[in-house]
Amino acid sequence: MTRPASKTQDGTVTVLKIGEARDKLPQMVSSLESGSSATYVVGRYGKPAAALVSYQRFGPMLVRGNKKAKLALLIVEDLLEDAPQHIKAPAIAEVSRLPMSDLMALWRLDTLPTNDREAAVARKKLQHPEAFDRLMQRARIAQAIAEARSAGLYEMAEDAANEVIDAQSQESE
Amino acid sequence: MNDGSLLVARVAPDSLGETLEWLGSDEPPFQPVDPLDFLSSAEIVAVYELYRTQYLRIDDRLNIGMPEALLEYNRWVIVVDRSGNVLAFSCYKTTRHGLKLGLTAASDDAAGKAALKAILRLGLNVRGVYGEVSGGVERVVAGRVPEVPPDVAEQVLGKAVEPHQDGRHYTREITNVGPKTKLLVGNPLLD
Repeated sequence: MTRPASKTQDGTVTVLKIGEARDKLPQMVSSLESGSSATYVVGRYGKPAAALVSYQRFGPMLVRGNKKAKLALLIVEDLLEDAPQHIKAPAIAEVSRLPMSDLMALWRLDTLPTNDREAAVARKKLQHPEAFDRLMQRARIAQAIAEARSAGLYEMAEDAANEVIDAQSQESE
Repeated sequence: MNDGSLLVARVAPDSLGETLEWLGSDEPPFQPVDPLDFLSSAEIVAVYELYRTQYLRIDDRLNIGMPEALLEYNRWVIVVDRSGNVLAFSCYKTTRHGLKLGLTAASDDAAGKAALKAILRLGLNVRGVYGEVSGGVERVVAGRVPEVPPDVAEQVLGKAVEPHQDGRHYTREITNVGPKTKLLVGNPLLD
């Protein structure tokens, strides 16, 4: 039977047997996905064996030991998901230099804001809003590249590059 | 070649000598540049203008709405004169087979055209640098750079090609353009 085990600062800790966890997995995931800060502990043979938490809470757990670079990597992979590696890499380096409070504020963003009002709200939470502005600029680069890719523009332009020399010769004749 | 970095080489036309061996490395004159700094540089503005001038002559659909989109390419060779004017550029993309030639253009004056020819002829002789050519660029490099057979081209490009009987050229579908005859040249790195 599911029962609250204790109440922590982060939310409820619920202990389940493995069979209960199997049955309730979709509900637990939905609850975590919608912002619950609960922890579900799955026990086997009377001992805790695994825990289920939201992805938002999982990231910082990965970087215990002040490994800010790892958290920066997770933030950038999340916010600049489709960007080419040469756009992401300098962003990771830049974000990893931010204080932990800024890293946590960025980590809590599901996506980068899409309008000025949301951007202003996000900036207010940061000690270094200029880093946020640069992240937004990098996102715009990634967006421009993604749009050009999906339009097939690069392949067209690379093909046309072969004709540029001919076109120049004709112009100069 | 590190695909996590944007490298830009700013070179003078008289430095395009007998070889461009550095093109196949991440070494100077390549310099690592933050994409945001590159975007705010005077050179990218000139490169973007050169792109628009030269490519829109060919097809209006080649209009890249903003210079940001040029950052698909992560290796840049920009030829500048003593006054800082951009004479020519070529850009490349790192792939598992090396540096693939992307876009090129030159200013309309003789110095720009000569610089572009030198980059193409020397660059495509460097180990790990390759490009898919046709038309004017093929004529510029013909007989001066190695050719890659169509069966290897298919492997390098990861795209289906239809080999020609000459054993050199192939036809493949270009997005939004249709089937085109191409030749893969240079020295791609093979598994």
